[in-house]
Amino acid sequence: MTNLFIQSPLSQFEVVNLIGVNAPILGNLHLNLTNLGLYASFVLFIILGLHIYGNNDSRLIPNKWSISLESSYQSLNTMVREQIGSQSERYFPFIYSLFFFILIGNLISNVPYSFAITASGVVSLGLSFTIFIGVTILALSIHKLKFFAFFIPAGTPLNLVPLLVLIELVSYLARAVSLGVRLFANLTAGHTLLKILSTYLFKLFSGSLFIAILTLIPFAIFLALVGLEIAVSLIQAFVFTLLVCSYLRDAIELH
Amino acid sequence: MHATLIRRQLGNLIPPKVATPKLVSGGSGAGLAPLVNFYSKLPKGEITPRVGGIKGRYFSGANASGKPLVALIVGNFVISYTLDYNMHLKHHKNNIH
Repeated sequence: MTNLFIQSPLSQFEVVNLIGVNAPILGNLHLNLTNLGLYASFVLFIILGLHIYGNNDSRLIPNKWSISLESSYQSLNTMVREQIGSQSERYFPFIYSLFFFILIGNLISNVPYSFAITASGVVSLGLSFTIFIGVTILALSIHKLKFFAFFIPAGTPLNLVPLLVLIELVSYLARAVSLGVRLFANLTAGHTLLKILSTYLFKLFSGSLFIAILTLIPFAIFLALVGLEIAVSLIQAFVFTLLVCSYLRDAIELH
Repeated sequence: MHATLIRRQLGNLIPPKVATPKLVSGGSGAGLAPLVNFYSKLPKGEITPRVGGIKGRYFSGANASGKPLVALIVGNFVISYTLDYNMHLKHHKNNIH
């Protein structure tokens, strides 16, 4: 009997140093390439490669790659138009790159042993906080001081204003957290579940032959869960960008 | 049936005669000769049809296939397993949490 060991299902989210330089200059400089950094650069290269190789070279007849790219462009463009309005397509490149970053980051994390960059808080919460600050700066620059009218719903009695401002402020600030936590929690939960189930399935499969054959039934359910995880990858990328669109609309139009 | 009536009904099907070489170039076609000469010397077909390279083999035209995706998944798996083995699995082989 081989030594069986069970890893913590959360150890897959650990950020570890792969290579690094510790230099005693500039206040003990640490330059490290972590697995987070490595997979983030994978995402970058995959997105670049997809768009460079999938490009149709301005030919009239599209190929399958360029059709898929064009249709994703089209659907994102439709989303931006519907959410922010056709006058605000200057935000489209941002939404497009955000969508592809999250989508590819989610999808490559579904490969076994891979690292889920969007399941680490620093990426998802970092993204959502950055977007929150950016959207607030945008709203302030467009509406100046009138931006603060956003916290007072129209037709509020004067004596309720302090309370409502507080509630609205909290709900506005909560956006920064909720946007990131939604992505982070979905990915973390899914990957943890798959890790736990695969550990058990490995134990069952490595038992006797009869049990291994019986285990094919839970394995089918496991495969369905993998499919679900791929769907979650797509849906979360879409939901994230959709919400960023609606926050942008709020910043531009103030309700 | 009357002949003109038939012609009027067929008129929808037969396109009118708008331009012929004779009509356009005054009967001789001599005016267009330098132009025809110029264009006939130009190379025909696609500009540098791409056959080689990754793009030509797996991405452009009818060659577009899902093979790059498979390569991506397999490559990612190999890299990830190697990293995980060296960072994690190797350590846990003899050390239980």
